[in-house]
Order: sequence, then C-alpha cells, then structure tokens
Amino acid sequence: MSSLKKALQVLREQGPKAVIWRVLHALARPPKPLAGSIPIRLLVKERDASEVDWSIPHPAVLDPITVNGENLTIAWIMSPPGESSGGHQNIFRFINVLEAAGHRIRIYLYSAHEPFTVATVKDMLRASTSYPDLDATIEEHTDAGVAADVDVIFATGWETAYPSFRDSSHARRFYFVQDFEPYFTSVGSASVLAENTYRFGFQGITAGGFLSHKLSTEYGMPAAHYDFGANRDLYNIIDDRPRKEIFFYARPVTERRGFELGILALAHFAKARPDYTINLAGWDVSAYQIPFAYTNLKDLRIDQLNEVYNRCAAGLVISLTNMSLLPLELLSAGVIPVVNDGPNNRLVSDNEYIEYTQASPKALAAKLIEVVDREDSASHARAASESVRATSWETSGERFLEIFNGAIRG
Amino acid sequence: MSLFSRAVTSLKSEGPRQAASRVFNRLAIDLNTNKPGESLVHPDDAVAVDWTVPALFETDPPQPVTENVKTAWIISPPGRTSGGHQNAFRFMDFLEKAGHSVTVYFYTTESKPIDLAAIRLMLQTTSAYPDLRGELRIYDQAVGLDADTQAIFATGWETAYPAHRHPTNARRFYFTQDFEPAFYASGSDYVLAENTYRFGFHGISAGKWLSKKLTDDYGMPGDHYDYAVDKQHYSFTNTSRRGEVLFYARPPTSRRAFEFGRLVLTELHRLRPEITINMVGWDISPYWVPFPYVNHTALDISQLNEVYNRCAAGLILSLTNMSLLPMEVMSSGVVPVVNDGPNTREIFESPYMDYQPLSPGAMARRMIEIVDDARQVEHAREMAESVARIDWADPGVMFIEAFDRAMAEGPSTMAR
Repeated sequence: MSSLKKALQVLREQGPKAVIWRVLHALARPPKPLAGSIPIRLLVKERDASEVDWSIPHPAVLDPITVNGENLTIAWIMSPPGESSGGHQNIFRFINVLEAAGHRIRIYLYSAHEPFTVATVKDMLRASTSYPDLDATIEEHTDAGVAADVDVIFATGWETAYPSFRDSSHARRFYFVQDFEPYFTSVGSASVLAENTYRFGFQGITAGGFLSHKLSTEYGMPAAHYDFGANRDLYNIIDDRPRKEIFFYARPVTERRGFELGILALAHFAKARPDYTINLAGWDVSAYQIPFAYTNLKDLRIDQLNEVYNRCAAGLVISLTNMSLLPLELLSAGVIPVVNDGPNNRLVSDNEYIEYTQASPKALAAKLIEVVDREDSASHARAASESVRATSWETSGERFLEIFNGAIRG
Repeated sequence: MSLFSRAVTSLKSEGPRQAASRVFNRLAIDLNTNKPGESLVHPDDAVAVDWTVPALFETDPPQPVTENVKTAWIISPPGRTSGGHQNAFRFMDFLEKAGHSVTVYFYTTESKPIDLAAIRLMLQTTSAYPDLRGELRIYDQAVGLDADTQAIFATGWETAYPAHRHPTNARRFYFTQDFEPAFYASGSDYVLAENTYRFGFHGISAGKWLSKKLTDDYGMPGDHYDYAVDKQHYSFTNTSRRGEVLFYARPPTSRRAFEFGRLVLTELHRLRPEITINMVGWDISPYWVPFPYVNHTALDISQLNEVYNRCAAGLILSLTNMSLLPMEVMSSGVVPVVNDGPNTREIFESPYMDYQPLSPGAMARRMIEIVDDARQVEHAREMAESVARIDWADPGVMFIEAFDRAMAEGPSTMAR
C-alpha cells in the first residue's frame, strides 16, 4: 500500500488526529542502520523476549488449573527437528511415552530465524528410522498460540519457554530440559535470556540429576529428573578378546564436547602407547590436523557402534555441561569410560566403573593408560557391562510419567 | 575460521571485533592448520602444564624477599585503548615506584610478529600509559623468563601457562581483572581458562567479587584492590528535573548485554515514547535499533559529564566483573539501574545503586519510575554528595601491601 493510500485509510478509520500522530511518529522513526549493518540474531523472537516479564508470576503458574490426569491434550513447542538431532529424538521418545499413556499431542514448531516448512519436517519424520511413528499433529507456532483444547504446554529448548510464557492459555506449564543451555554461549544477552527461563516457574522434567539439582537449587525451579537409559539390545559385549584400541567421542562442532582438550590428551596417550589404535567417532574430523595416527570413523550409524565399542578397552568422553549418553552405552559394551570430573557428570551417573578424571590433558592421558594396562581388563569389562544391566529407557519412560502425573495432580 | 568457531558465532550475534578486545573470534585451538592464533594459548603450553601435580613453586617455595624484587609480567601485546592493559601497566608502575624492577614479556599466538618498536612508541605517546622504566621483551618459549626472576605475574588466562612452565620456584602471582572463562561458551577454551585458577598462584584481583569467587570456587588464595573512581571528571551540574535516560551500549562486548538492553529500551519506549534515550560507549549506527535514540558513540571523557547530567536514569549491565560506570554516573546525578547479582553487589555498596532483576519489563518500569520520581532532583543531589564523600582506598597502596605480604611469606607459611 502506498503511504498516501495508507494515510487516507487511517483518516477514514481513525480521524485526523491519528494521521498527524502517525506523521510525527514517522519523523521520529529510529535512525536506519548503515549499509553493511550487523544483524543481531537471538534464538528467541525479539517480541517474545521483550514482552515476557517473569518478575511478575505467570497466572497459569500462580493459579494452576485442575485437569484430570487422563486423555489430556498436550502441546509441545520445539524448534524444527533435524534428522540427526539427538535432542529431538529424545523429545520424541518421551512424546511417544505420553501417547502410549493415552494422551493427545500437538506439536508446535517455533523458529525465530531458520526458515522451515511443516511438510518437509513431516516427510523427514516419516522417512527416518531415528524417530518413532506418532499420531501427533504438527503445525507452525504463531502468535495465536496453542489451540484452545490444550491442557498442558511443554517447552523444550530455552527459546520455546518464551512463547509458552506469553501464551494466554491457562494450560499447565512444563519444561523438558535436556541441558544447561546458558553454557552454550559466552556470557551475554543470549545466556541471560536462556538463564531467565528457569525463573518462569514452569515444572521441570530433566535429563539426569545434575540439571534438576542445578535448576532447583540455583533458580528455585520445581524440577525432577529421569535417569538415562542404555539400550542393551544395541550395546553389549560380543567379543571377549583383549582389546587393543581406544575410542574418543570427537565432535569439533559441539563445543561442550571439548574436542581440542581431548586431542591434547590423546597426543600424550599416542606417544606412550603407540601400539593402540585410536578411533575418533562422532564427526568427520578429516579437515582437522591431528598430531597422531588415528582411525576416522566419522558419524557412525547406531547399528555400527557396538562392533567398534567391542574393539576398545577405554573410551574418552568429555562433557562440559550435562553428561552425554555415551558413557552408559560404552559401559554396556564393556568399554571403560574416562570422563572429565565434575558435578555435571557425577550427578548424572555415579557408576563406579566410570573413571572420573580432572580435565588436564596429562591427567586424562594417564588415566587412559592406566585403564588399558589393567591385567584384569576382560573381567573388568564384563563387570562394567553388568553394572548397567538394569538401566533401560523403559525405566526412564516410567519415571517420566510418574513425575508428570505427580505434578498434574499436585 | 574453524568450523568450530563458525558454529559458535552463528549461535550468537557479535559485532565487529574490537581491536583491544581479547574476547572475539579466538574460540578454539586451531588444530585444522595447527597454526597458532586461534586459541589464546599455545597448544604446547596447554599440554605441558599439568596442574594436577603440584609444581616446584608450591612444594619448595622461595625464601622471603621484600626489597628490590625482580618481577616479570607476561601479558598480551597492548593496544592503545585497551583498558585492561592500561590498568596492568599502572600496577607495574606502582611496583617500580615501590623500588622493585619490572620486565615485561609479550605473549601471543597471533601469527603477526610483535613490533616492539611500535609498542614502545605507542606506550610513550599515550597518556593513559605510565612511563615504565622496565625492559620490554617478546616472550620466546625457547628462552623463557630470566632465570633470576623472583616474582612472576600472569595477566590474561593464557599467560598463566608460560608463567606456570617457568622452571624455578619464583613466586607466582595472577593479576586477574575479570572471570575470563565466562568469555567463552562451555568448551575447551572455557576449561583451559578455568583451570588456570587451580595453578596455585597468588591472585591479586580487581575488586572483591572476583577475588572471593576465585577463592570460593577454586581455592585460589588472593587479595584484591578496590576500583578507583574518577572524581575529577564527573559532577552534579544540572540541578533541574531530567527527562532523559542513558544506556551503556557496547555491542562487541557480549558481557555488556547490548541485545538485552535493547529489549529493555524497546519496552521503555513502548510505554513512554517521549523519553529521550541516549546511547554511550560505542557507535551504534551499524546496529538495528527499533526505537529513536541519540547515538553518542564513544565520547571523550570530557564530554561525558554533560550527557550524564541530562539523564535521570542509566541502564548499565555487567554480566561478569562490574563496570566502573555505575559509580561515575552517580557523581553526575544519574541513578544507575544495574542487573542484580553477586558480581554487581559485592563490588561497591551504595544505597543509591538500583539493583533490578534481568527482566526487560521490570527494568523498563523502574527506569520510568526514576524519571517520574517527585524527589528526582533531591535524590540525585544526595546521591552525588554520597559519592563525593567516599574516601576511596588507594588501589596502588592496596596492591603493594598485598604484594609485600605475599613476598614476605616464609616457606612454612605457604601451605596450600
């Protein structure tokens, strides 16, 4: 519409005062940024971040509605899933649990910047073996918010907590937290906006005990956790021969996996035990100059991992925020995980076969050497595998439902 | 840039790199090329230091020595406007004036060679730097520090690695000005920075929040000096009611939370469009801002007081160690609206600091209340007078006392 047409329309609909106000307003418009200006992009839509005032408690949190525990309609707000996104796969695992318990799911895709179409996402989900088949509806999240029949809203990534907070729905609010996301950036606006979501008063259900502990003690967020599972059908001991290899979960693109730190440690190990093969898996690392001989396994399929694990005596896994699922999977396959020491890992698993070690390159290398030099390595691997026999995703699903039902009734 | 850094920068929005800043685009050790220059620390220094094993300077500390101490400072090459370097050089000057000697070693992983002559000239011609007598050298890993050095000062986190590697038991000091791990996402550089607080050095920190944090969280022993507030340039000159506000806006410095401040001011403008918003600290013109504002860019210190004196409230965000600005604007009668946290509360106690939760709406409403306050002028006057009355402890005196105390410690009292 031309400005003249627009002015005429405003004149007709709102009178001359409105036109004058608009003209004055236009003159006081913010100065235009210069050419080559710098876009500022946050994961959250600016409007959502600006409008949410968590210093005033949310009505749905202050005065929660009563819902009967059965056949609920549950909305999940999430970023558009990618095929290899472990975080999304885990979300879908628990959505599946809710559907199996008789609830109806509505998925809302929220993205501030990345363009996506619902159709492509649906196609991917249908075709991928990494995702379960769900009855859930999938649509784009808009300012209109969730449907009127929604009883419960789950936020997932930190940015999705904002549209949930802004939504006028009185639905019960939950927050499915898989990591401490403020750690994903340097301290700044994004980390603050992420951190603030833990103050929204939502009921947290977290992946492991480190997060529930951190969120409840540091932010006063009501939170409970399920423990990680390890799929014994996928990961188990198939080979009892002495293992002359080790494994490193190498993800240079995921900062919290401490790729450089691991490489520094392995450089020591390679010098001390040159007869051991070092396997790097998790990412194609051929672009990186790595100062020792290694096998580049790149991004393996889930069904290829156990065979590799069964060749390895030790596995180096660095987790600088919430612990990875890998240590439990490694244990199941008889690999002794060497993991950086810290509450973020110890509070997730206190398994005695995990070798927690301080994050000094030399200390990590010394521990790897100690593990591969064990005289009793075969029996130790057996015992390690037995120690995680009881952990399964079924147990995690049951625990999830227990927390959910308890919070809904409470 | 490595894939790794790209992934990170795509997650956050950063402005152009500030020449003096040590924070940007240096997020990973570049194992891709093995070229130094990506991480601040040399990979071989990072590997060589194993802090899990006590070092000689801990197991066999030196005899007390209090006079004519030969000190070595390891520091990244200074820039003309780098406040962190200016501050470090001021404290080197305090040591020289107290009768000790200083040798400065420049440490960097930048591939561009260090131009000592240019640095010397810059230091001589920049009034913000003192005239140091001590020698300036380029740190060479093969040569290291002079063997007869008695006290080694690390400055930025990466310099703690060469300081640790020095083979003698010379006393180790750590001149900490901020909690540097917070400059990174949780990753290798975060860990390498964090680990330096476990090296067993004696910290001398800017402000007590930092020294307390390092002791509480990492068991690092240390002292602090208080911030020095410039009383000469700031004063309460406008005694009439003020209808403007200011924001300390530094987009390239992520800990100053520019994007967050912009959300606060978006809300403030929505509620009260007639309030003039001043941005000071940086040229904001390349950035998209959804409300009208006055762009003061980086003003000279002599012009700041005039701008401050037009404002009733000032939004100043500090996500790690606090900025000096809250104290300075108070002298000019501006109520500082500051994010609430131990990092802002434990530096400077004043009933006039206005601590607010980091909610855009709450901060905007508070700024409007300050503009609307019926007692605005009296309040501003009382605040400015309260700052003028404070007798600041001299940071140089505090520093030299801490240094002398640590140097006088005998081997038996160095237990850790």
